Amino acid sequence: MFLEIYELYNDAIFRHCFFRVNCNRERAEDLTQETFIKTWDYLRKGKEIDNMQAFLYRVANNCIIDSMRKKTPVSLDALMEKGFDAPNTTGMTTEDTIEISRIRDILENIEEPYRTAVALRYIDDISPKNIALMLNESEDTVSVRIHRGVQKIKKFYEQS
Amino acid sequence: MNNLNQQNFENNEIKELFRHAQKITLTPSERNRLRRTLEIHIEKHPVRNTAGERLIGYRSLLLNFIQLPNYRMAIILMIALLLGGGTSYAAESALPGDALYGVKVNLNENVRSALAVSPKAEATLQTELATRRLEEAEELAEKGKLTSALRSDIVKRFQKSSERAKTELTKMNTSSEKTAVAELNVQTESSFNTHGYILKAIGLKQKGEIETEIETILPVVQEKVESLAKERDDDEEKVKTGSSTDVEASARGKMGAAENKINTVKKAITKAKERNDEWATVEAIARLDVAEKTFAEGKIALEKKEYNNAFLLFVKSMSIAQEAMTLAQVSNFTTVQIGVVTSGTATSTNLKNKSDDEEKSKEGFEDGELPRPGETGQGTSVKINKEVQVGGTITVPAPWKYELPKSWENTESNETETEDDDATTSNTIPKSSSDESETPSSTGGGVMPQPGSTSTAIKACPEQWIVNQMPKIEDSKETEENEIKDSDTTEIENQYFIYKGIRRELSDFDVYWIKLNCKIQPQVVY
Repeated sequence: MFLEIYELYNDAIFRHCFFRVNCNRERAEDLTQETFIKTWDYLRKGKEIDNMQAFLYRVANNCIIDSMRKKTPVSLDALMEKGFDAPNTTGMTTEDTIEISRIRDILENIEEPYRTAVALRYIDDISPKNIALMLNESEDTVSVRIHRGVQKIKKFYEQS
Repeated sequence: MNNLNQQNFENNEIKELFRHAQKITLTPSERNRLRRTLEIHIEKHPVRNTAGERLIGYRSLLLNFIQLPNYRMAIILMIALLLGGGTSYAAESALPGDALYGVKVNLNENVRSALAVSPKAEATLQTELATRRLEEAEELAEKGKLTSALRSDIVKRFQKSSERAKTELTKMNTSSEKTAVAELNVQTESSFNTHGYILKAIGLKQKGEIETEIETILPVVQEKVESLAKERDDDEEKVKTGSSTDVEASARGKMGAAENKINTVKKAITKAKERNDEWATVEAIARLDVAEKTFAEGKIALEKKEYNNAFLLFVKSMSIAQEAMTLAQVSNFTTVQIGVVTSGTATSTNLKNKSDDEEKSKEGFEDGELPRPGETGQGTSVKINKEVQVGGTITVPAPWKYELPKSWENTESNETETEDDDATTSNTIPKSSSDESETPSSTGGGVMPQPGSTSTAIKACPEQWIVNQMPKIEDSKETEENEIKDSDTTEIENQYFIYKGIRRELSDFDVYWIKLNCKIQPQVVY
């Protein structure tokens, strides 16, 4: 039963992690694994989960935050200096790679909590209602965050 | 208005912007790797208690139903809920006459029926329910609680379920479905047959009113078995006339299924062994042996490209395996058999006489119009009588009317002759070659009872188990021990236990029990 949940959500969770760790495939894979293992450990203790999707994203978010704390965060400046760091886009066309890089740039340029809101809404295609459930916020707050996030993206585009 | 349009436009633009993000997915190899890691993790860290699972199922049931595109999961959860939900769970083990029996048959089973959508699922379920009724009858009879009211209720429900199963099966008409129908029929037949046998054995043991009640159930079961046997004959004809490519595919499919079945049976037998279910183990192993032999025959036929034959052999193998399964799972029946074995010769003789009578009158469940292979042979009928003492005639499979190759018939008769040895040797846990020499005195207590040998058998762990292998010749050995030795080893062993500091003979002990329960190992002295 749990493996069915895995089959259902593995791509979504992986994608979610991918864009949150500077498009690093390996780290995203590790995080995906950690997410499902942690969820299983939670379930096996006999605890209940109301909304599996929301729960998985929440666990994934926690894992991402934990991993960020463990590893010294790579500052944007340092990244800029290092130059263009091509995301690892196995098996993708050049166009896709460019698009993915662009998405990464966008996400890097909007700060939290707007980034998470936008990512969940547009990358993971989750309804504001469910995002609210995941983040333990009201639906209104989430909608505002998404909206502001979009404004920031627009601004980012206008500037560049 | 303008504002709204602009917002929509922005929204679409943003969506377009992120569209490519959807291309980020796990590669199949990554996905499989993760899955394996997860599987290993789950295996190493299983669920701590089942109550937890129930809660998950319970709470997330509705949400999952709505959110998951995967319907199957919702159904799994629903079944988990059903099996896990307090009252209905408790009701699952209720017997006719119990307060919760109504919940079991009216609520639980009807909900399961509602969940079984396809005719096949419904038919399988109804067959299972019919079998369940027989099991209930067995349990009640075993407990001496089978009254005529309960019996008629059980029979009614049994007939209802089996009729429904039959109706559902007639709805299945395509060729692939036909195969499934044939398979299900064969399984049902063997299952009913085995349960009929078990019921009869319980009846013989319980006597009196219980026996009378059981005698009323048996003709109903027998009728079903016969009608299924007839259908099987017809099905076989269809299989034989089928095109060769079809048959090859189904034969190969059946081979896999039979293999799986045999493996499941092995597990069930291990479980039966774990709970010291001597009778079930011996009987089931004997059956399994036949099933495996038939399976091997099937494989040979497959290699020879005799696909029709192979198909039938695999089906037969499966069916015998199913019987082994039923036997291995009938735990409540153990007491009956242990009763028979430990109460010594007297009971055995009773059984023997009854069995004789039935054979003469041809009214017995396993006789009458259901001839067994080799039954007419003189040796077999003697054998049957003898075998009633351990568990009865079912060591010879149910009435098979397959046209089997001659080699099979041979195997069958060989099987009958060597069955006792096979059963006992495979049943005991072989530690050394010397083990074989004392098995007949342990399990053999049932096969060839010696007055007083098993009835007073001590079930306690002795301190030592001595195997004296001093080279000497003893003629005063018990006959069957000599027989074994002559064929197996030329060494003459003298075995005994040291129990409470005193030398005690093996025959004073329940050796089988000791092997299962004590860590004691034979110690060879020269």
